[in-house]
Amino acid sequence: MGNILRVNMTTMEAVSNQEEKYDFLGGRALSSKIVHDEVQANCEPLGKKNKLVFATGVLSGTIASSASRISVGAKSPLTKGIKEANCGGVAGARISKCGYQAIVIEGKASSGTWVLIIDKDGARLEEWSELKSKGTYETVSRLYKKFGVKVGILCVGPAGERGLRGACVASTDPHGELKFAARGGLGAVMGSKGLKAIVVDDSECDHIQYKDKERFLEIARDFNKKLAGDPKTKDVYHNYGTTGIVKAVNGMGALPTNSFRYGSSEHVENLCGEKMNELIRTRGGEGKLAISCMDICAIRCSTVFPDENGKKIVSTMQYENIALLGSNLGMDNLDAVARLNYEINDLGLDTIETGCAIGVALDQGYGRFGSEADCMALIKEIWRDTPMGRMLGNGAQITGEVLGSDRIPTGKGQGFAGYDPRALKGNGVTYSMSTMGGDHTAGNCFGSRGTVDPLGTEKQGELSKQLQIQIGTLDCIGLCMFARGPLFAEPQLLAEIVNTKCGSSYDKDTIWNLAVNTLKLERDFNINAGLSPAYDKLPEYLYEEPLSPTNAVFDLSEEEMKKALI
Amino acid sequence: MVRIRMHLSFIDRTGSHEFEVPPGVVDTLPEFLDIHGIRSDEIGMAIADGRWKVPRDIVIDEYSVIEVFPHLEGG
Repeated sequence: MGNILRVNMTTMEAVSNQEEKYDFLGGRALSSKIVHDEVQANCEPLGKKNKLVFATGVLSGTIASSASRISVGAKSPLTKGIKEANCGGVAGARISKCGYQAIVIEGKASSGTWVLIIDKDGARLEEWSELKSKGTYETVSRLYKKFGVKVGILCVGPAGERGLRGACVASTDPHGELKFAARGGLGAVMGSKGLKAIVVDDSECDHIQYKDKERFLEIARDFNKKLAGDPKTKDVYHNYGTTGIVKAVNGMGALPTNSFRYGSSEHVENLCGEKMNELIRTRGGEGKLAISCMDICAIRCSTVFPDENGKKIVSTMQYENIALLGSNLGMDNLDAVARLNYEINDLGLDTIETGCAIGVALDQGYGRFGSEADCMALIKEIWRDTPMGRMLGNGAQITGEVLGSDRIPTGKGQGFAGYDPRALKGNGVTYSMSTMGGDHTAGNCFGSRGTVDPLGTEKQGELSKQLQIQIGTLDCIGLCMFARGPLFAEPQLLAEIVNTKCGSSYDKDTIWNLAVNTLKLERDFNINAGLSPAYDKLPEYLYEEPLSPTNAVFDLSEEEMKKALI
Repeated sequence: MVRIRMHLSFIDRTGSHEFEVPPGVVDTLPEFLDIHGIRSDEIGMAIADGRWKVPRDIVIDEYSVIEVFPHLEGG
């Protein structure tokens, strides 16, 4: 399929080889397999024994829509278990076109700020001391100036360089905006190795290989057409991105509000997708709806959110950012959310983790809910690298422990995504039982899930399990989770598109094994890392503190929870 | 009077954000939406008086406020 590029940051050597044991694997299947097989499970996550993997999907660089996500994997400094976070951007496709299936960063530089450059001539490391402590936007700007705007860039901000456990990896999209492999502190792993950025220039490279190119193109075009015509794509994502769900989650009583004190926000009319759409359209200027985060994507759920003068504040405004930086912090307007979002992006921090951490700090009296100034002051503490800033940048769990809170919204040490598990119990199962901790992308039970009542105490374990497998399968192929509509409606299409590209022999029943096998490896790693089943639980306060307006508590039995185990 | 609130693309489809439906006019939510050109398989989610409900099971007169959404996925 391609070569594995191994970059040793201790010796500064880069070597690539075809490695048979990883043939036919991509995305999360590949990143998790490498971490499972090669990383000592009980190693220090920010030490030289950890490895950071950037794995391309098996359809990466092809014409298939939404299929070029980059999967980032390592032992997480946040959960202490295995972590996979994937994101859009152009780096995945560029890496595939350069002929690499994955990049594995090993060892640790003794000093310096390094950039890995990959192009038609191979891979090399260059020292870029001028990028030290620079924000993600400045980093990308300087690298574009040197290498041009068509390259793909993966980078960390100052948070990653300082080893803050909420740090993420940023990835440039076709428009020069940033997407983030956000969860689990993988930016801290990258920063710990002395690696500030990876620049991928695929000029004069086209190493994409097909088993049956003609048939693949036929199927891929059919898939793209179906995805573009899906009502969710054209009616929801193009107009609202992911923010279309704000009112629905609020209506269910699951919208995190004031550090998970409440399940709905009185300010929802000013925080919802409809409001975002209205502001982007009426303000004009640099504001944009329906932009793609990969070279080829029919979904186009990204946005550029402008201020009242039409000047860009941030890209992209997403549901999770509105939930964790908006209602969770008591905000009443999208401009404030956008400004907080920009600062956190520039630091190279995960907005979900940082939103949870700031929420915990406000809940403990270190600022006022609803005050943008107070929240911005806390973010400035992170910029200034003060002890308070270090605490916040290390995430919600550490913030809560330092401040003496007994209500910390985390699963396996990772801040909850934008769904309170008391009012969406299936997500409580995913947060606690999945290998990824408090991460909705591991199996989000929000949405049109047939007849499973989000407040019910039955069928939640099985629902979470099925979603972990379904979404895990998309992760293993390198597909965006929003491409699921036509693929889950026709699993044979999913199998065929992979088979004609790779020469594999999946069918509509066995394609899911990609995820099942991966999830088992991940759980095995976690057990070896010391994350025993004792860690498969939610914070105690969720079992006791009723959540308004539904007055729900998390009341699933252990037996129900265990049904989610793969 | 039951209030039925449309969301996202359903506002454009039905031409209104909110309908006030007198008692006894129509029985179920799918029946009401069908009148406005929305098929039952297009309904993604419904919340009746603050509680998630299976859309096809909603008897309109049993609630005060019903919110209706197209198919959505979590971001």
